[in-house]
Amino acid sequence: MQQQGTDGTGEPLVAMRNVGLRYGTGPEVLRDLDLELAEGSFHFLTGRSGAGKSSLLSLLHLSRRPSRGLMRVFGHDMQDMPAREVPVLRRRIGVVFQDFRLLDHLSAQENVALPLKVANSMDSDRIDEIVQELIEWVGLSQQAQARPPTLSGGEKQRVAIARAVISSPRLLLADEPTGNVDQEMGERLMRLFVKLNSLGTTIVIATHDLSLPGRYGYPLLHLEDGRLSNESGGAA
Amino acid sequence: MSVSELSLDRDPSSRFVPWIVAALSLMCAIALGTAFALASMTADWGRAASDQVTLRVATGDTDIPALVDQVARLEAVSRIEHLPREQVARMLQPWLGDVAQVDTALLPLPALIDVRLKPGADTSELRALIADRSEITLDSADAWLAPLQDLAGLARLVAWVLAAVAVGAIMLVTVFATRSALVNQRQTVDLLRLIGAADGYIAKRFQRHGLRLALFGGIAGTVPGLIVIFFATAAARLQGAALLNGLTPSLAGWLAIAALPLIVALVATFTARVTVLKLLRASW
Ligand SMILES: Nc1ncnc2c1ncn2[C@@H]1O[C@H](COP(=O)(O)OP(=O)(O)OP(=O)(O)O)[C@@H](O)[C@H]1O
Ligand SMILES: [Mg+2]
Repeated sequence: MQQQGTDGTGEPLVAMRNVGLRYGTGPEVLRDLDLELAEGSFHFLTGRSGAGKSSLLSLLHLSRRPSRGLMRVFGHDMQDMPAREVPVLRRRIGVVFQDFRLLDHLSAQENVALPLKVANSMDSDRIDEIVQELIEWVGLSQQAQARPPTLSGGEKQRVAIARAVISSPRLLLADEPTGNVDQEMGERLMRLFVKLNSLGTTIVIATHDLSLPGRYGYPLLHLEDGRLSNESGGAA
Repeated sequence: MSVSELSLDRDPSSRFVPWIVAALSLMCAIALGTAFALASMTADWGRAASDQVTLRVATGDTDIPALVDQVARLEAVSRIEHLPREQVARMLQPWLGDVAQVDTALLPLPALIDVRLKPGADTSELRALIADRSEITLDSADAWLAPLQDLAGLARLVAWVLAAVAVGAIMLVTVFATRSALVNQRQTVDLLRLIGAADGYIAKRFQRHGLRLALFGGIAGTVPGLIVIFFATAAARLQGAALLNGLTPSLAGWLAIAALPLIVALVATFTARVTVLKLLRASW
């Protein structure tokens, strides 16, 4: 199922060379990262709690700059990326945050619509249409008007996932996307990711549920002590 | 779906902003009203006084009709009038009481000759004519008006400075209100950026917020300001000397003051935008 595809130039979607990340003046929580994500690939990112999974994802969705090293995303060097061009790149990346980060004063439906709204490239009727479709698809039609504080953990998770995929991102990053849902919903969400991947989306899923990679057989990125060790997860 | 992603309306830190802006707008409006009123008053003085001089001839045996004739022939003079003796006596009324009761013939009154100059002409010809005649003095309003002009000019400058200070303070208030709103909304702002909102998109939300607060405050301060200017200048004109006749803003002045809420709103919009963009740029 995994394509070893790249974009036209044969360049990986994301490439890191010798990347390190530190928070403020603290120690490096990520070091010496060498990583390539081929276009259309699917990876699980594993590691103990505190190993740096969320930190690595924050580099990948461009919410932090590496403290050192080289990083290329969609063929752009992040070192000399002007800040005003970063938003355009971010719009091609969907993120499911570990803590969801939904806006409590907006309804589920409005939360899902946000990425399309801030991109300013679609009229609101079209946005409504797409949102309805997606809300239905993640099984939240009944809760479309509800605000996040009144939703269950799993429902919030599904809102967050719908928001991450609504703009058809080229790269989808999910931080523990199945952490708050029961086995059955977990399977359903995984099938959604597999489906998106088969449509060409590059996917990275962070999890400490080690049974997942075993069941789906995608390659593993394992973080330990802030370093990556590439392992293949099962039958790749 | 027109809901705002940023719940700025519920931001508690901005509750007082309109009232501070209102107070500053009131101050700015009154300062501008003062500046404009002084401007038209001094312009008025200039028009009335600069082309009018008075020749004062001490009692004696000067041949007044001959002098009038001589002066009237000068190039610079457009009109000349020898004030009747009764009129001169009447000018003394404040000191002498009812002049009708006084035998004015006994008073050593000077002869007064009002001379109106042609527009733009100066008094040099006239001064040359009376140069060697010590009984004749030339009274020009310029002499005593000049210090008053200077004083009015200084007052205008002070008024302008106050108006500028008020606008500067409105900018500062906007900066503080925007910063605290941004801090209160930090999580939302961060999220919007993470899902691809450009800085300009976020700045626009704060701009609108600033515009609304400032427009409200501007109107709430300018309207009472206009009323104060109207009554204060009217009162000054009513009970003051003729000198204060022109003490009211020109039509353009009134319009400029009335436009103050718009100016304040624009200033706040611009300030909010710059503040947000600067803060966002500082954090990638
Ligand atoms: N904003 C931050 N400021 C300072 N240190 C941080 C910050 N975020 C994370 N860290 C530190 O970086 C390290 C890695 O944290 P990170 O959240 O990436 O781990 P994780 O692998 O996602 O853990 P978990 O599985 O529990 O989510 C931890 O030691 C954490 O304390
Ligand atoms: Mg984490």
